[in-house]
Amino acid sequence: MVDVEALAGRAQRVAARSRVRMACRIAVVIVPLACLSLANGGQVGACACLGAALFAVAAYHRWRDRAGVDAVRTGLLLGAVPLVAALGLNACGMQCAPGWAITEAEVACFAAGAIAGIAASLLVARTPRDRRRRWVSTILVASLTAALGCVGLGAAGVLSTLVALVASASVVWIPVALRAS
Amino acid sequence: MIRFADGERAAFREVFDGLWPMCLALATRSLRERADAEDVAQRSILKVFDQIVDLDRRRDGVAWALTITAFEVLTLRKQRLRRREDDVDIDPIDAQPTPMDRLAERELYDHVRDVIGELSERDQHALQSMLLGETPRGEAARKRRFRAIERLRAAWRKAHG
Repeated sequence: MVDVEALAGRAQRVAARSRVRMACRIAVVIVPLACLSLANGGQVGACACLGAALFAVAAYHRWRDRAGVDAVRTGLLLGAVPLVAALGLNACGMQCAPGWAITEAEVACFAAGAIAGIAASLLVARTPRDRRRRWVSTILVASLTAALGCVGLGAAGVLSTLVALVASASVVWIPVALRAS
Repeated sequence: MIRFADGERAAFREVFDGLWPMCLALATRSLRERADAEDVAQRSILKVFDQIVDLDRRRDGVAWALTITAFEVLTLRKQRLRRREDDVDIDPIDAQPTPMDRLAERELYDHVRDVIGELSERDQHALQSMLLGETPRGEAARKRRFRAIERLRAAWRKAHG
């Protein structure tokens, strides 16, 4: 005779383990991104820290629910826009200037960050529910991905990308949030 | 199931209570031994919960769970069959067939003949040439033979499980 209660407990544990495994599978994407950033001239420590932070955030959101899975997917895709821009800049031999000087590299990073931020807000605004939470998760993942991509260009590149991404995303999001409330 | 797969942990009990009787019923119907059926149903329900986070929302979740159970039933049957074959290999004592063995063999031949008799004439010819050890001439004959075997297999499964 089957002990149904014990079986239910086992099934619940199996489901929980499976959810953790599914959440951690995102490492398959994040590890190559960190390696790419390292190859793009980023410091080992900075790449490792940003990669670990991105993995932790992405895995947590994926573990939590399906909305988190979608948010991580969107965030990684849009965060890849500044990452690709940084790769292109590095390939052209362009670096961010030290200090507060604004060069073409900072402008390019700013533009890429703005594109990613606007696209993130517009995409999340289309989703039917949990919009606010999805937006926060998407922007968080996109910011970390963008920062990981731009770390090879220097602190100014990371900063300009992040400022542009968060600011543009917020500006686009405000009317959506106001309409919803 | 979709709510649970989407992250609503509270839906676990509802999903389990809904799926367990169905998996057990399918396994019980497919296997003679109650103990085997319970083992298979337990294995399949654990497999379902192991894969539920990857559940395709466009498909029917219950049908998916029952497919896993059916697959487990087939796996058990195959294991049993293989074990029986291994036992025959390992234990060659008393190689002479007993009258019971001969009777069982004759019954088996009769069943095979009946099933082959239900197939089309073309399939029967293809199987006959195979049993006579003839090599198929050309790609078309080879394909015909293959299809005839497939149909025989399906007919046998339909008739004898």
